[in-house]
Amino acid sequence: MALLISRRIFRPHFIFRKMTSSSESILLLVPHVKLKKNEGELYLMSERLGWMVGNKDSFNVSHKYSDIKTQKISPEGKPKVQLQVCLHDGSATTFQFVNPSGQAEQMADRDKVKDLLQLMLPKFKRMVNKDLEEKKLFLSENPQYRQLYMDLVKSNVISAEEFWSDYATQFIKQQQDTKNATQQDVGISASFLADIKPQTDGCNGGVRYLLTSDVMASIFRTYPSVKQKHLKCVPNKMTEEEFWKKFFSSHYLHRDKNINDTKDLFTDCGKQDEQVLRQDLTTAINDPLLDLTALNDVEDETSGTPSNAKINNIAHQNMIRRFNQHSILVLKASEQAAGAEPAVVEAAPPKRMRLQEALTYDDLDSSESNPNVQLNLCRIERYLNGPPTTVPSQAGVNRNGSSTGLAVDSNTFKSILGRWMRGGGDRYNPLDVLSSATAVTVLGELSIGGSLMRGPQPNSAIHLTSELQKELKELYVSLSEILKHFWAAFPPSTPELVQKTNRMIDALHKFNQAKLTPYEQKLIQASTSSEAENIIRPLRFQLQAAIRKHSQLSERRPLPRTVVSSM
Amino acid sequence: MLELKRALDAKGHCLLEMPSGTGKTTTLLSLIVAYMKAHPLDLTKLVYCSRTVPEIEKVMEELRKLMNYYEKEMGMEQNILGLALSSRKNLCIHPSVSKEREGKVVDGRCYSLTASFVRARHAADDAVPICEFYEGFDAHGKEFPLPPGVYNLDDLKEYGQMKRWCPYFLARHTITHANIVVYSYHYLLDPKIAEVVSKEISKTSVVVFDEAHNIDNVCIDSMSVKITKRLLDKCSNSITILETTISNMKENDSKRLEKEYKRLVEGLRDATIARETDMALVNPVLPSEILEEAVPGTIRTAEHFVAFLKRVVEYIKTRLRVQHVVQESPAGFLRDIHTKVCIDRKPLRFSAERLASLIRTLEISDLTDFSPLVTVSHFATLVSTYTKGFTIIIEPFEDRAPTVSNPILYFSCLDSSIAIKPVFNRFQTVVITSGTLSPLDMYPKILDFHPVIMTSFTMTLARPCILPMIVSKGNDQVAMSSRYETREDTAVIRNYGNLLVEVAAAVPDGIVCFFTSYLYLETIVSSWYDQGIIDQLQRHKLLFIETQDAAETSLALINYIKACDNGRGAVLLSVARGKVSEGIDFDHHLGRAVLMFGIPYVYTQSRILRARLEYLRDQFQIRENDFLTFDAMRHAAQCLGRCMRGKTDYGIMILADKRFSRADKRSKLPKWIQEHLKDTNCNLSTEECVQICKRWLRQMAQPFSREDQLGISLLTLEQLQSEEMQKKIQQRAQGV
Repeated sequence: MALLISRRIFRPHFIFRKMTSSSESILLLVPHVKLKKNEGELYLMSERLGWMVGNKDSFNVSHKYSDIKTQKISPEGKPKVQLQVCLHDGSATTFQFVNPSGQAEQMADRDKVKDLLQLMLPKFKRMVNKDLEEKKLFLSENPQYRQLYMDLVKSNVISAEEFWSDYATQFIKQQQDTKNATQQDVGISASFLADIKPQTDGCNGGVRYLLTSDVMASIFRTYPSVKQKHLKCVPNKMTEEEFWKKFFSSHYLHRDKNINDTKDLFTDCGKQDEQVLRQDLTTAINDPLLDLTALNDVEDETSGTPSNAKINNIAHQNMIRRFNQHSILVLKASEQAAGAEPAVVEAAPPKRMRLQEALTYDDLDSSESNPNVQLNLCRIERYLNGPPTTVPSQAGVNRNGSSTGLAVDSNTFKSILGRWMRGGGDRYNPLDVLSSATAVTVLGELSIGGSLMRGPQPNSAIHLTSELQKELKELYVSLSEILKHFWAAFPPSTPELVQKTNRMIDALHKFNQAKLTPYEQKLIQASTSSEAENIIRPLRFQLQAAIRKHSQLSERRPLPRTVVSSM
Repeated sequence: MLELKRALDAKGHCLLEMPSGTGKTTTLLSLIVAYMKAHPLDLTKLVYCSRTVPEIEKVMEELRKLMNYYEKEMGMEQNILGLALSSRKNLCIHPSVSKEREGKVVDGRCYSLTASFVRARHAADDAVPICEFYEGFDAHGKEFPLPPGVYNLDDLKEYGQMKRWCPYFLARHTITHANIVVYSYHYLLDPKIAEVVSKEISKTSVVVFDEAHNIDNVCIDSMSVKITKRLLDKCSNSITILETTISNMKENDSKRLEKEYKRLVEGLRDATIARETDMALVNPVLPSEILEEAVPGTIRTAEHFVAFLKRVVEYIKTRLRVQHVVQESPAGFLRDIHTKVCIDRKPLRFSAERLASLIRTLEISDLTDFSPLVTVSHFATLVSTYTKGFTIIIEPFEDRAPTVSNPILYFSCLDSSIAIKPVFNRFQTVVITSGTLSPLDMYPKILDFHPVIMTSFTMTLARPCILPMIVSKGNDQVAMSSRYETREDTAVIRNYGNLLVEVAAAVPDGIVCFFTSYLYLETIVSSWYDQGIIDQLQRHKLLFIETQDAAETSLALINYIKACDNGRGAVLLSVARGKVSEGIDFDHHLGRAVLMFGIPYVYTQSRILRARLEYLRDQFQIRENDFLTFDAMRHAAQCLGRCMRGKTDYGIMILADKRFSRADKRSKLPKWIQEHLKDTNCNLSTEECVQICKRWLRQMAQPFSREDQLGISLLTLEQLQSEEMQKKIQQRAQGV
């Protein structure tokens, strides 16, 4: 570690307990700094910044420079002199400088800190990729994913990339959302022209306009014709300043001005705007319910020539038209910013749809359009118990929808049916339905002491300590997560999918070794081995089903396997 | 429904006020259709008149829903034919004619392709263009009636395309046997059109006028004529065209003119047995006994008639050359025209018919040029037919611009009952309904009829959906009012502006403002601009303003809705009595607040209005002030009602004028608004108003689900059938 020595204060003897590495140098120490009403000292060190209450020897607060995103200072003139450091995780700490010798000193203290931080922060800005931060934030906000991450990634069952790309679905969704959200641009304020307030400077009666780059951008976005003019004129015909001067005297700012003043630079701009408006008049009126011109069925003769239009004040009318135009253009500009495809006139909704829309009352529609499809079960017990299986070992596979398993199932089913048919013809022979051996076993199971009559089995998990229980739950969650992805890859028709199954099966093996076996050991220590086996069995069963399936697959089609490990 | 059923049973007329969004249309349709099914002999037809084309189409969609429901419940096809009728403009499917946007041009071009003589010419010479769709309809359409179903305008067009029949003529033909006809008021009220379209509708029909709060004005407009200088100049042109055509024809084909002459001698009735397509020119209501008579000899020959028309036009021209305003009765006009140019009343009466006949004979296919002349002939006929209830006003210039000479002759109908009288007399039940008909007792008076049922309904609401308030003063305690004396006062204008700005800051999404007149809107906007209020407003929302150009306003409207949809929020400044206030709904977020700046009194200095008020006073004993207030309040209510549509909707209604809090104004608001207008909210300042708005909006923004409404304002079938609820409904019905 490079040793930076502050020129001002040097306290090499100071060794911090909480430090992970060895001692660091102090670059700056500022006393009289308040944090949450406690006065203390602020230390700026080579790698981090810390604050401690005066009489202690350990930091109450310490931030690594690399954690700090920005610093903010209170504006001048505020009674409190403050400095805030914002961290990457979104939290912030505010220090208040309370040097008793006055505000000037406080400011000096603050500026010292600020300057040093300004120096230090860029050094530590190891391009913390934002991504990582987001992931961190996500994990801290979602404990279940955090657990999953711990179980799967930390124990090397799967790689971190895999985790982020495949497992943390919620995270992926969230990211997409934010991506979409960031696309939304800020619209244009309707009053941007009003914000250009003329200010008279007292001495020579001139008028000053304040023009910010924001306002300029708004003008360009709202009035494309002005932008064109600007492009055309500014470098060669006139200076920037002249251009804006002209703009300020144009009709854009003085809405009551007559547009037909030929001397004005912006006359043709106004005409262009007018043209755009005219075009809109013919194209944009596409809603039949809003077209005032087509409202009346039988038009009255008077509408053609508005006789009283002549006597009205033309300046007023122009102004009103300009207000409308301004609003329309502002709206257009923000629309263009928002939508990816600019200015595509969206197709008018069909007239009938508009009419229907205008007629339906939400509150009157019955809520029968329930989005959930109701599951209609004719035989509930079948749903709960699953189909009767003849070969119990295949059950796991069958349920996962393998085609061979289904074929076997249907074959046995057929054979049973066939037996019935053969035995009966039209005469029903109950003896043929069940073989006598099965009947006996079933009877045995159903009589007292049989496995089906034992009632609710005392759940072995109850005996587990809560810690073990929790661990078991986590195991279940992690395993089912991996299995989910494993089965999702079936049938592995493409090479990618094949690879994925391979990866998953490796992960399963790893999981078995790294997680399941140690847990079993623990269980055996805690209780008897048979009980441990009982508890673990479902997990093992799921695992084995997957592995068996995979090996079946690779037998049929020898696949290059990178890791072959035994159970 | 109870009231409607009673009216149907009694075969009388009724007047119903139902708040918008409570299912007015559905109620009317379903009950009347059910009644028709139950008593097919008593009630054969439903004629549903609405105001605008979208409204008509909405009614059709409602009807379609109803029919679908019938089909679902009864499990079989319903033998009911529902039909919408609109002008050629909306129904034409001719490839080139339908491209025209203006209704008159479409009518004219249609006529030039379908008139009987054009088709006769086509038979002789293939080069003469005709409309293939009309030919298709003429050849086959009449034998095969439209199969039962619901036909909206688009459905008619589709059907027409499929069969290659003209949808317009198909629809007109079908009206006679359709069970339900939906069309615009004009087809029933405007005598010029009604004669053609609605003549054959049977007596046992029920007629519904929806959105009928303006029905008296429609009646009056349909009977009034306005003649300007320009129109007369055009008339002269058309007359010269007529003259040349006649002289040409005389040389080439004098027989035809002779034939016409003979026909006219026999009587007009025979002359008008023409094809229905020739009805593009139609006469105003003529008592049928006149039609039985022969055309007076003075105008029988073509040349004489043209000369006659020329004299009439010249006479009107001289009358327009006045320096001061003239007002006279039709009788006075007739006397004057007799003494000055020796024209009798009788030939004047026939002028419309005679002109139509002449144009037919001359085979003039382009009718659009002749519309001024037709207008004058209508005027001549009307003025000589009706002596009561009309007035003639000649103004040499407009009041606002006394220096510009712009003479106009108004032939104005003063009595709205003239146009609607035939409707009331002919049909057994006429239902007049709207969301805003209050005060109800005015309508029977001005329309001169006797309703058997007259009711105003309210809404049952689960929460206070509307917040009407009367803001009478600004924060500086200066009274707000659009009174003539104070409307130009900057303090008042500024207070109005501040009110709007503060409301815009507090209310989300869309805000609609209504001004009393377009002129007032313009002056206010320009003073607001000078006062910087527009800038303040733009900080909160986008600003859109109604203009006098309908297309521009539509564009502004579409953008207003866009701005509301994407969450920016917008303010729309608009005019009471304007197109926006009459035809556009601002439901849900499109209108969270409606502001009414001032009381929308009609321009009281207008001479036409003065004449009408006088007439109302003399004939119907309605005081001027009563009528003016009634008229203003129904328009105000109409504006306020724009923001409510359905029970889940909610909106603020701000009446910004001190005068609204007076009892005579307040009591004229519809019952459903009055119910929510608390006494404490009747005299507020801007600040108080904004505070109330904020509190109320917070309350309204709470989630509102269907369950909250159930049992109060929304009933399930079981609840409806339960005895307890039945009792409640009974009680409420009696309370009404």
